[in-house]
Amino acid sequence: MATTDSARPTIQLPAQPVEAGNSRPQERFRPSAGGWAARYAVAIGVVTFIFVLPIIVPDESAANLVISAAIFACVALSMNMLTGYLGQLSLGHQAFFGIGAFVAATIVTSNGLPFVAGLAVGGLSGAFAAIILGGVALRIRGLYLAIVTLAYGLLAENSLFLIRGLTGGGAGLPADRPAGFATNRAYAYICLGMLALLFAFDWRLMKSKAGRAILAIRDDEKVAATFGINITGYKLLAFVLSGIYAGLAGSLYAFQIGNVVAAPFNLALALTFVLMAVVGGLGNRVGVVIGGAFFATIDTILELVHSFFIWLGGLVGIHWGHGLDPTLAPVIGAALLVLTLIGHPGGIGQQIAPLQNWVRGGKFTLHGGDKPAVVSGGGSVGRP
Amino acid sequence: MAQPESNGAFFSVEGLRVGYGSLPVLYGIDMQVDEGETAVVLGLNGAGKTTTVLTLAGMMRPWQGRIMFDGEDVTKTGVEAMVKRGAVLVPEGRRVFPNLPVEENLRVGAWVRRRDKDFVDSQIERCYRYFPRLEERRKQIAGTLSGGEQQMLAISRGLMARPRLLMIDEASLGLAPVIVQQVLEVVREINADGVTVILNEQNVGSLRLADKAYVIQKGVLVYSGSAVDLRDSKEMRREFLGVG
Amino acid sequence: MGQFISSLLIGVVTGSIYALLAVGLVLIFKTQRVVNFAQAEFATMGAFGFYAFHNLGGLGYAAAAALAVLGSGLLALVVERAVIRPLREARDVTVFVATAGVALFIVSMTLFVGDANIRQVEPLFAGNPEFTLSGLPISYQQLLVIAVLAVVAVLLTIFFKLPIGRALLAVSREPFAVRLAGISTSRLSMLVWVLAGLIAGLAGVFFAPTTQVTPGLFTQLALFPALTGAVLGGLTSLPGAVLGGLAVGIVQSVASVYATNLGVPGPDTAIVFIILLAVLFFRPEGLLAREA
Repeated sequence: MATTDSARPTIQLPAQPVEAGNSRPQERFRPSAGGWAARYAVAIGVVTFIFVLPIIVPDESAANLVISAAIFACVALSMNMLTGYLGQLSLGHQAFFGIGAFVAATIVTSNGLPFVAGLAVGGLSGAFAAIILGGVALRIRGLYLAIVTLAYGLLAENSLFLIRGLTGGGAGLPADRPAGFATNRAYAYICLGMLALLFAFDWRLMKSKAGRAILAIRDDEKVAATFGINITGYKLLAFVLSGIYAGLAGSLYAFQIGNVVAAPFNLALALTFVLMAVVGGLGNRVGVVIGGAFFATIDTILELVHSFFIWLGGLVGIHWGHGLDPTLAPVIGAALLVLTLIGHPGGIGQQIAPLQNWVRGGKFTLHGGDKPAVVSGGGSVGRP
Repeated sequence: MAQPESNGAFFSVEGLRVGYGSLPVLYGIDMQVDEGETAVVLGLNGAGKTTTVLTLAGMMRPWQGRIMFDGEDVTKTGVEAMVKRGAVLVPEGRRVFPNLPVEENLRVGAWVRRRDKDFVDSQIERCYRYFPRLEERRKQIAGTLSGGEQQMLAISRGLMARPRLLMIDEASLGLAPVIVQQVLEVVREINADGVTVILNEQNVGSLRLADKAYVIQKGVLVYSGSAVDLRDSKEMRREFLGVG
Repeated sequence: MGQFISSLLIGVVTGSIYALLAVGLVLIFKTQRVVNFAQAEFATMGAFGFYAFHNLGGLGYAAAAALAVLGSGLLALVVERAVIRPLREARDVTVFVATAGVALFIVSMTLFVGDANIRQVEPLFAGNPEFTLSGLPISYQQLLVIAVLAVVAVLLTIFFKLPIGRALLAVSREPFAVRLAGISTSRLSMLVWVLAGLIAGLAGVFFAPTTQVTPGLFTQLALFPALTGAVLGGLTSLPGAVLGGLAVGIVQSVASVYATNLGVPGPDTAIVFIILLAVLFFRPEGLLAREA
């Protein structure tokens, strides 16, 4: 690097970076046939494993965890759309999620329409909720918009979800699963299917012109505008898609619990959604899905670890007192969030990037893969 | 303290190499300014002038080289200690505190001697003697001053710590020629009162009030010597400054 | 009319809490362009600290209050060193997320260490004497909250006349030039966080007796209105924060009295949301734009 260049340059040598990008033509790495086979085996293995999960889990309550993981993963994709791709923090995602849940329940229970209609209208209602916020985002930016999203979520939590006529008040709205999917094992397939659908859609979208436009807006709105990108249109598109994802996830959630009440859709849930996306790795599709699944199941994971330690303690004769109970979950989550932001802005996505890169046919190097996205918006880098 | 005796100059720089990240900006600068002198550092935008004074003021750590001030090695001394020792930088672009009145701006400048109220008041009087315009506007919010007045305020704020070495980065940038004249005139007065001055300038006219001149091109010193020689030699001016 | 006056007074009391938190938010935002999501939790910790020192530890009122307030200041200092300092190069929204993480950490830590039970914190005046205003009972403790705000406002006014206060005003706009004057911006940063923590601690200790203390109390109750109050005042103006906080409290209180008849749930959140949007849309620089 230039630092170690001790020779005193002549006058006409300015301080230029020695290597501007990877200008040197590099030979493209191609895996051998065996290499490809290994890569396909791993990819197919992972997908197969996910899809046999509902069958191989020991009981219905474990299958319920698979449902939760899939639903939270869908929300994580939704958060990723706004925060990872468009670069706009959302602290009000409990609104989209809750509206989706209430609307889906209303459609199926009050209007007697089929499950699929509930899902569709639930998703659209999420989009409707999001486009209102998107309209605000056209005018207000950065930190201020983040505050507005916080307010928006609180408004839904404290006003909208408590309107008796809409949400059944304290009793809640019942939402029955479709015939044939009453068991958690069966219903898990619907949720995994939805996750797969959203994942594939998100993947294709981000390869398209629209995806590149959204990323360009994140990187620099003004520059994007000078390239003729329709800022208003693509911003609203990102909000609408994020709303649809979250609305669909909310609808699935309604049928998971069977009776929708307002209590779960609170600020703590919105913060959990932020945790999933940031710890998962903003801008990294696989990372946020893992983040979502992780935070959906962290309580159970802690319980398992706890009982393992108790078992272990029993073996060596130690009695564990106050230990790892589920109330520790948000403590761990919050600590992970702060540590991620300070030390590993790429989150889980950054950690698995070498593996992703390898599966896509690259070489396995520890620094392969995508660059992490950061929460953007606002500016003022380098404060006192 | 047996500091390495460096040829007795008030302020000297040897083999200064500095950069940002891994990007070098200065490739070895040598300077020597005696007490009571005025030195002018000339060069185009991006030549490394600002980096030079930022390093001298203690805002940047040099990669290599040595900076001596008043007989002591200050190479690794940070900006707070440099201000206490009496070396102050007036930054490029004025950077007055736009939300504070003129006099409050000055008081912030006297931070290192803030507990000595008489000192602070006497320094304010001194600044007003140099720039009577500021006294007229002492209650005015600094953000509403004109560019020239802001430059006067920035220099005054720098004087508040009673420096023995005052570095002024691009004093004449963006100012009308007649204002530049006024400001440089006061700089000459300040210098006459015993303050050593280093001016960073693109404006060749500043050579007029300098004893020494340094010309930096792309991070390298291409001229160091008498300001008068540089001013009077058409060839040298063309070679080093690109102006005839 | 009587109902109006009493709701006005209640509004001033809650508004004082919003104002105290808003002042802390503005102090931090002014100097660092950081919106501190954890600001309200410094107050909650003040209340819990007081409960721990007084009810559990058996310390006297004054000693427990002083220790609790200092504890909040210390907590703020730890947050500044551990989270804000490492993120000084990060974008402001990133730091906002990080402070949200801090808030979540503190709330969940209180739940983990303690429990979700309601705690009753003792008022300064034994027996919590009240008087009645137009049929509504008002306690002396509630008036004390207003007094705390007044004292803090006066102290801050004096503080900003001192060299250190002046340096804080200067650093908000020109941190670079402040460093060139020989001032350590890192120490200024610690100072504002400690100040904000102390003020929030005061709010926590003195407001806690008027309500029931639960984990996350002030974040639920006051964070969003306080933020709105701060935005209303321009986010960089301290007088603006005081007036903005009071205004939000009053509007909220009056609105919730009259909106109950409309049958809309949560009118207090709705009205604050409307204020926030209106300010951001029509006067984003706040109602008191001048920085001071």
